[in-house]
Amino acid sequence: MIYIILILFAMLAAGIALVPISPRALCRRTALIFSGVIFAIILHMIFNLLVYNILPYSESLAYIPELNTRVLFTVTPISMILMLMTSIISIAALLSIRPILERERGLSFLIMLFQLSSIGLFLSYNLLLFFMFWEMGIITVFMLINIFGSSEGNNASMRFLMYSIVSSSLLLLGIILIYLYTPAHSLNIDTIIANSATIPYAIGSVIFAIMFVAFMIKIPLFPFHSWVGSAYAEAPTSGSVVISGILSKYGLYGIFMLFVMFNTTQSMRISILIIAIISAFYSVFVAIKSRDIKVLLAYTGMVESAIIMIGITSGNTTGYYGAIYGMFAYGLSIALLFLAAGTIEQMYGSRSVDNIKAIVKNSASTAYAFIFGVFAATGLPLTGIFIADILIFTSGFESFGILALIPIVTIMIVAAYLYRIISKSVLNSKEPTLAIRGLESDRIFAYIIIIAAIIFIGVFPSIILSIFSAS
Amino acid sequence: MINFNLMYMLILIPMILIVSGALAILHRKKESAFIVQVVLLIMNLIFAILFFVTGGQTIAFSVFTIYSFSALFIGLFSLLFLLIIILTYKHSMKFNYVSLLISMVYFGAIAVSTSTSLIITIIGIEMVSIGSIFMVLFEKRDSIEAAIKLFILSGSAIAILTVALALIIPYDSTFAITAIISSGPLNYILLFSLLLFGVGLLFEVGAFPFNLWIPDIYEEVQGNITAMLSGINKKVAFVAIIVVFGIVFVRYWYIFSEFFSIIAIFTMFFGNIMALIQTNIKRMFAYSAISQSGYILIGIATASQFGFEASIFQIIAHSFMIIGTFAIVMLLEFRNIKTLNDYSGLMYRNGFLGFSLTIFILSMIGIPGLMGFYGKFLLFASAINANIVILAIMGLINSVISVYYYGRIISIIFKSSNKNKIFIDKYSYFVILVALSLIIVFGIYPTPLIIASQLASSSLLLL
Repeated sequence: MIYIILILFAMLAAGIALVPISPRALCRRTALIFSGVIFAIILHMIFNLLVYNILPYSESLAYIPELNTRVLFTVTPISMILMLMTSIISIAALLSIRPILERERGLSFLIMLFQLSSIGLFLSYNLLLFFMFWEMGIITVFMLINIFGSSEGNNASMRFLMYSIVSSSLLLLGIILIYLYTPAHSLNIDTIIANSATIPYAIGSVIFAIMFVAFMIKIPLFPFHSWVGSAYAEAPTSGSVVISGILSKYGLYGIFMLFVMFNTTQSMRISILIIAIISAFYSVFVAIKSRDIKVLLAYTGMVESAIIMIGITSGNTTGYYGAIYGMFAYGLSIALLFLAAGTIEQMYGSRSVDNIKAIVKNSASTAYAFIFGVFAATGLPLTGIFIADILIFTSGFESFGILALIPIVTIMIVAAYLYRIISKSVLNSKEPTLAIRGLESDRIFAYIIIIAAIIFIGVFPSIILSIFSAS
Repeated sequence: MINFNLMYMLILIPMILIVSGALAILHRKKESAFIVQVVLLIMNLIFAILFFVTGGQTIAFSVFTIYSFSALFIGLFSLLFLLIIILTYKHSMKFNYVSLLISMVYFGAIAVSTSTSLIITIIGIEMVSIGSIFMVLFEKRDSIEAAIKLFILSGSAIAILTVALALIIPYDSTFAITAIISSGPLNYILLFSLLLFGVGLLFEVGAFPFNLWIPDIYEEVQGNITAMLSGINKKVAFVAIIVVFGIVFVRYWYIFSEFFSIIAIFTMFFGNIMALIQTNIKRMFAYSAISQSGYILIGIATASQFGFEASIFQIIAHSFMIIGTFAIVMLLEFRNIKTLNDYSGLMYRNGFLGFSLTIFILSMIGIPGLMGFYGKFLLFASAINANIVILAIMGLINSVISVYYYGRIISIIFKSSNKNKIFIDKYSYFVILVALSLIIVFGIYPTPLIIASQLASSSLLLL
């Protein structure tokens, strides 16, 4: 039972090793098979938790004794849910690779690598290990955008890389400070939690601020957002699915762990809340101004991240549940939207909203997937986000009063704008039909997987919530 | 009757190497000289590891001390010279002449890392410089300008070092590498000597104000010599800095700490900013190597055992990265691939070269999982630990700047435009593979190297 984490990593490593050497026709399928196995392992963990109440698994190996660093992986309910999300989105992304038109070997390899770094990041309970997987994810995404992106991918990836390295430099500085000022010179998160009271207040707040900015860049929140539009837009379809769905959760998960590690004061939390509110409003206005469908969705994702931040900052259990639930649900919905948007781009050869007409005539499945994604992202009942929004805003209201409810407005604006796109571009059947070849069945399957997951967590929220309460 | 210790072999082997190099000139065939040199270097590597594991301290032939620090560097230099000799063997016109010079440089490196006397240190540095100057001349017809530049740089360095040495006589006429015992708290002649030692050694390291010709030299000479100049000559000078400042001037740590802090910051910025605007890959890596020297100086500037440990780690890490990189650059230069744009699609022209160059660059950026990361982590941690936070912040700013040009190379390597295949010989393949595997293996499991640098730095006489 204990070795299940090792089996998980062995499966990931085997997938990564086998993709480059398997024959061309089989490489994507190899990646899919291993991702399926990983999905099964994660489901097995959740099943064990819910039925036999076995938690947490922890795996600890000596690594660098001189730095008091151990390979420490711990399965918490949070990491379980984020791993589940990673697995679902990765499978969908792998399914969305077009076998002949795209360089499938490289894409499958990078998506498997990104899956490894994400699962590693969500599992690692040691900051140095966390940082390793963090950087690995950054380099993988850089490669995804740079090698497989559109013609502008080069600049977009460089901008992404520069922002990311600023963020990881700050993170490294924070980690070094924690290492030096924790009495035990330890980077294990449980040791840090136990010793956080002994860190001097001034140093503690400096560390908190540095690491908070580092994570802010990665989400991104308002002043550090300028990489997000180009990076999401220029990535290949499968790449933008994983980037939008998983990469922004790196920062959110980091801030979540930061709140777990350090004690925060009410005034600090209010200032973070205000940053989140500004970010939500700023990004919603950028979103409604942009005509590029992928940029628009990227800024929609920023609005959602800001709303999750409210749940994290509220600092009570309901807020944490809501934030994790929101990460899961928003991750799935934004991945679905990007999957549909990528397909639309491939069909029309353009990302501009003005050029995209009558999607429903050309590809009904894409149109309905997009519509469902919009419904999910705007929090319609019976989708997961409905539950997440309720939890987040309830907890926000408990902690901050009416201030936390202001961002509801941004959801409404986004909803209004997205519904307008649906009526003008998706369902508009007056326009003449273009001759566009049909979709691969794989991609329809990818839509179905994500939609099924969204509906499942919307209809049975108690299953996800009981994972939390098991801890 | 000399009490012969097996560990004297550590010093004897380099001497035998020089004799064998001299005999090699009389030979016509280069295979036998190559095999003899490789075997001797591997023997010395094994002896060094053996000594490092057993520990202790031995004085050989009155002027060489072997302790953990020197054993570590004898091992390192043996391995590095092995790589350089294999690289040179394939690509040199006159290997038999060059092999003598290489063994001379090797002996100089060993002398610097084991010397008990400052005179031996300076003679070692001199041997390294003279050997490299002649190697530059022998390898390429039109590299006289580079040789003269190198000659002027090393000549001034040695002149300054000699004056610095002369200033010490009134205080310590034995020139022994032990902490200088002076009467007053701050003696101006000693201070002057300290500064001159710093300047002379910084000439060799290529730190900021003394490095303006270094990229020219690197660009003009053949790739294997470039690899040696940046992978070995610089590192020898760092070893000398650690010995001179970590032992001899250790009482004046508060002075040289400030001196090196300023130099480190300027060196990092100079190297990185100049690298941003280069289009020639070799020049770019020359400037990148300068900025990496700045990082190594951070650890020395902290003047603490932790800092020296970090510097030693980064010296080891960077020497493998840069030798691997310049080996690749050399191979491509022979095929007239020199500028940034020529590198486009390298990954599809030769997957091995593209992949290894990417890994070397990622390691220089400091991506975890590769050796360069732990070097940077230890360096910045040591700076914060010594309360010189500004050094760590400047280092991090420089890491960010450097990502711009490193990332640009990576994105060009993966651009698919040119698909003419490149084929490489098996000797170069071996050299790159060794450097690559060391970087990945010690990147994933750095513990042995961290322990080794800890032992080495604690064997120095530090405050």
